[in-house]
Amino acid sequence: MKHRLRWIIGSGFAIVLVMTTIAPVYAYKYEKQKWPTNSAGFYLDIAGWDPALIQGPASTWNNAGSPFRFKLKGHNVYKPNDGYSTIGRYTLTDTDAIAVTKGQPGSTVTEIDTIFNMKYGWGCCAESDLYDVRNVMTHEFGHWLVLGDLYNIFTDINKTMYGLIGKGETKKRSLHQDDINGINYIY
Amino acid sequence: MEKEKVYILGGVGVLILGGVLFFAGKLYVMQRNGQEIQAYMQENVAPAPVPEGYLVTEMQASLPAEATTKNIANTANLIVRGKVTTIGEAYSDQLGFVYHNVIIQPEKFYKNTTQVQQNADITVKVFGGTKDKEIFRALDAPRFAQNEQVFVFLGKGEKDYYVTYEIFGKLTIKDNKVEGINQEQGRVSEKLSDYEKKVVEIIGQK
Repeated sequence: MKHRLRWIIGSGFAIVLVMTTIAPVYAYKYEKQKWPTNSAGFYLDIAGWDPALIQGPASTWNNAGSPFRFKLKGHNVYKPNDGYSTIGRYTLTDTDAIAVTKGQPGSTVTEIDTIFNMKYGWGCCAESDLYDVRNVMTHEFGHWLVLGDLYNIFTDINKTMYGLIGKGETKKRSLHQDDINGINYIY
Repeated sequence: MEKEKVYILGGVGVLILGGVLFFAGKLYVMQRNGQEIQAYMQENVAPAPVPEGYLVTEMQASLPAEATTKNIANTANLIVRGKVTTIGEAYSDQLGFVYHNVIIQPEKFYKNTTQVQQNADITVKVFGGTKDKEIFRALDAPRFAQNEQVFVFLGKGEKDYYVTYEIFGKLTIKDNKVEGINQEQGRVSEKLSDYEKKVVEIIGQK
């Protein structure tokens, strides 16, 4: 009888295992572009916000074990395609996007800009009704490294590169092992 | 006594197995939904090879969590079914983001908080497009085709409309079926009448 019970439970777990691993999933998604060197300078156009909210996420990626480094270069008034990779805050009325990151064409990255959508409320400290700047910036810096969005609610929801972001969410501030593997694969 | 023990143990075993299977089913559905959403996005953004001499620029938009039909419907100002009559040329705004306009001829309104005239064309501003031999790809943006029958959830922008929750807020109607993605189902493929009923119920609940 004991053997039968063990067999039933064992079969159940085997079914779980097969059902949840049956199809391939992305560990991370690399968009096949790369910075020409192992560093990227960034400029800020975030008047009123503490620069530490952006420097913190930069340090998170800098400490991910790869030689790649983000470096704060100073202030720049955002202008598209000006050669300065800038993080700005503007109101984007024609989209529900929380933040948008735009690259440049070519096989190497020459400029990437991120705009925070000021249509939404932003916070520093996991306020439940605001989007957390550090949480979102850690995700956007992933795009600067040319890591793509992931959307598998089952396998990706705890990764920094999961593409949907909640109010008060802070889990993207810390890198998942797959995010770390992503940057270490590229650089 | 021995027989009773066997029945109890057997019952416990069946309950455990039932629970495990239920849990496995839930995990499987979540996993499948996620994969279907990812696959739909890949198909949506890069169906054709890049023509020679063209460059590609990627734009990535981070979207609000919980892209469920309920949230999308409740966020939208306008929910409409109609036909795509025009896909406009790409243009960039002052921030350098590239858009193109899509014009939809409405056939049926489900929600109309902005009081659009029943027969007025609706202009929808969509991320991405091709401009001066540069293709601006936005993975999360909806993609429209000429003469396509669509079911769209729209928000009111500065001048025109935009698709709420980007790719999640646009569905194609084909052979009387609605096709698209949402977070609760993954890939959606259901009868138009059933989908309409669901949306009307959601709006009614608010």
